[in-house]
Formats: sequence, C-alpha cells, structure tokens
Amino acid sequence: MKENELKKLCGEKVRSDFPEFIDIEPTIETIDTDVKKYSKQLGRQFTGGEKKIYGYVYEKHVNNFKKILRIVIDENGNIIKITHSK
Amino acid sequence: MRDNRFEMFILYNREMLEQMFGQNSIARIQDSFVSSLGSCLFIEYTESRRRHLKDYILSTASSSTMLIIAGDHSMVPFESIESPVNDGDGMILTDNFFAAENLLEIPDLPVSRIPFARNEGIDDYIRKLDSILSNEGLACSEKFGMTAAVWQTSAYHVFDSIDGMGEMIVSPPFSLGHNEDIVFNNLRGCLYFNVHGAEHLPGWYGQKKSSDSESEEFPLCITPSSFTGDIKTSFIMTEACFGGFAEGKESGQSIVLTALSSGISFFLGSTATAYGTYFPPISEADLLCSIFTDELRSGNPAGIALRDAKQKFARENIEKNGFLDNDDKKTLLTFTLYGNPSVGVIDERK
Repeated sequence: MKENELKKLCGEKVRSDFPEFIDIEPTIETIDTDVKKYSKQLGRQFTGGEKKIYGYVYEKHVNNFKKILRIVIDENGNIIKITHSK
Repeated sequence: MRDNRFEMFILYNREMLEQMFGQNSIARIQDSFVSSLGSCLFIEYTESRRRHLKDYILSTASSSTMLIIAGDHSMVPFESIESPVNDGDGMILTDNFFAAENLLEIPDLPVSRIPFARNEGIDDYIRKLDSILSNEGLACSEKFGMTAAVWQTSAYHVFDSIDGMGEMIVSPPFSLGHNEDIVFNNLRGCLYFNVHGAEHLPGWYGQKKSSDSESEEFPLCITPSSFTGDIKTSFIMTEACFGGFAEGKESGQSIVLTALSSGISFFLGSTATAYGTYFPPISEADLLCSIFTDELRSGNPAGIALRDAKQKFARENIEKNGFLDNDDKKTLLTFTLYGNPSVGVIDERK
C-alpha cells in the first residue's frame, strides 16, 4: 500500500476509536526491522526484516500531560499494535 | 535474599565528591558499601575516560558481577541518546551504557544507581546508603497497587502476577483531593503503580476512561509524601512516564528520590515517556514489569531480574512481531533500577 493509503487507514482507526486525536497530524516513523543483529546477544537465530513497518505517532497536550498515541502498521495495511503513553 | 556471592563494582566520581563533600567523604562512602556488601571494586569515573571505563568494566566483569553507580547524572552521567520514538522527548537517559557490550538496548551486566538528591549532604547520603544496602531479602507477603482507570485491565494483568496479598486502587474514582493521603509503612512486598507522570511534576496521576463524563481527566493520586514512612521492606515498580527521572530534583520533589531516602530496597521506573496498551495482550512497560516480577519470583535478585527481563522482553517481542518496535527499544533503554541490585524476594512458602 502507498503511504497515503496507510495514513488513511490509521486515520480511520483514530476516528473510530480515539476521536480526541482526529485533528492531530501524525509523524511517521519507519521501524528498523533488521533483527539479525540481536541474534548473538539474545541467543536466538533471528531472521526477518523483509516487511516494511511504520509507526504513526499522534501527539497532543492536555493540561500538564503529553498524550501519545502510536499505531504500528505494516506495508499491507495490517495494524500490528496500538500503544499509549503513560 | 541478598547473595554475597556477587562481586560488586562501584562506579563513583571521586573528584566531584571530594569537591562537594571533602576528602573524608570517599572513605565514608566506601565503608558504607563494604560494611553491607563485603569487598567491592571501586572504580573512579572521569568524563574523559568514559568509554575506556565501560570497556574496563565489561572486560573485567564475571558472571557474578553487579555494577552500582554511586551518584547522580552530574557525577556519573547516564548515556543521553535520541529517543527512538518521535514523541517530543528529544534526548533520553539510559544506564544501559556501562552494562551493554554491543547493542545499547540489551544489557549484559546487572546495573543499578543510587543517586544524590539535590538537597542531600554527605550525611544524608551515607544514611541512605546504609539503609538501602543493609536490606536483606524481601518477604513479599503483601502488595499494593494503584492504576489509572483507563489502564486498569492491563494493570490487573501485571498486579495479579505479583506475589503477596493486597488490593489495587483505581484512579479515578480515587483522587488525593477527595480522600485522605496515603502513607506506606512496613508493607512487606511490592508497591506497583500503573499511572501517569510528567518530567516536571512530583506526583503521579490517574486518568479517567473516555466513557466517564464526571471525573477530572487526570486526578492526582500519589505524591512523594506517601513514601516518607518505613518502606525498607518494600520495593517499587512504576510504569509512570518519568517515574524514574530524578535529575536535578530534591528528594521531596520526586517519588524515586523520596523512596530511596526512606531506604526502599529497590525501585524500577522509566527516565522518560513510557508506553503500554489499554488491554491485554500486554506490551512495553506492562510486559517488562510482568517479566521482572517473574524473574524475582524465580529467585533472581533485582539487578539480575531486570537484566534478564530486558533480554526476555526483547526476545519475546522479536519472536512475536518479527521486529523490535521503537517503543520496545525505548522501554529497554529507559527502565532503570535504583537501589540495591543484590536484594531478591524470599519465598515464604519454602
């Protein structure tokens, strides 16, 4: 999927589940998927790194607090996880 | 319980301590460590030899070595690196630097820090060291939890994995504005917090659910004054943003510094923004804390429990997702152990 299509998918998720972030323009992170480098230290033979993964980060400030919503999505438009700042 | 088989490395800034507190301060600090932990290797920190010291520590350490950083960020600086998440934190602080041989996210050596509060003199620091370091094993027959309402499903998942009997308070409805203050005294076990924090605020806060139209969005639920009692038989695990950020603060302005001044055994918290999910499956801060309690229960002292928890956390995330996400990396970097790394949990059933 193209970047604007992924952004639209994330926007739909925000609209349905996290409407307080509707007006926020996300920043987009590309996630480093090279996990072979962790193999030795973690005692496992990791492979992978073929799929492209993106993090859409929505940030707003409420009173004294920063509220972050992160939607992690792969290049095929599958939402992998949604996390929030504490 | 504390295990004297461990070889303790103490990293400290002689020059700065002597300037601030006089030559005698070094002997007093060393005496405090040795009288509680047995023989220790004292390593003098200087900024110009930072990289060399890291190499020396990691090449000299054995499988039984633990590192304690004696001092705050101005004395023995955390490593400052760009936040892996583009969340406005900018530079973040990690103590993995001296503990990680290759990749900064994954520590190889157990490490903890016992910082100075800005308003502490040498007598206060020695008293704190004596109290923290004299702690033996923790019984963990009790526990206390506090969670923001919005996090409670994931929080109960973690809380249930902690040994001991106890309740978890949910905020809101709980708020310090409407209830009496809490002061912890002689609780034998874990104090667990899944709440909000901010870099410049001394207390931690709850958060209402979006369906709750009545409550204040972020009610104040705990302040440093709750940790001024006898908490030597407890440890703290907090998922609050900046729950483990103490730099430049006085002890009354920071829960971690107040708890350490009161002699808490150890404290786990994040130096920057922390992350989690509203609902299980748990991840980020929730997952790391859950694995940490598993490691404690398996008999590991706090330092080893955190090192191994970070390694397991990375392994689980890579195996599950096929990558290590940026907020996973941030969790690994920012969650910091304060206090005594050689104290573990006693299983009273044995």
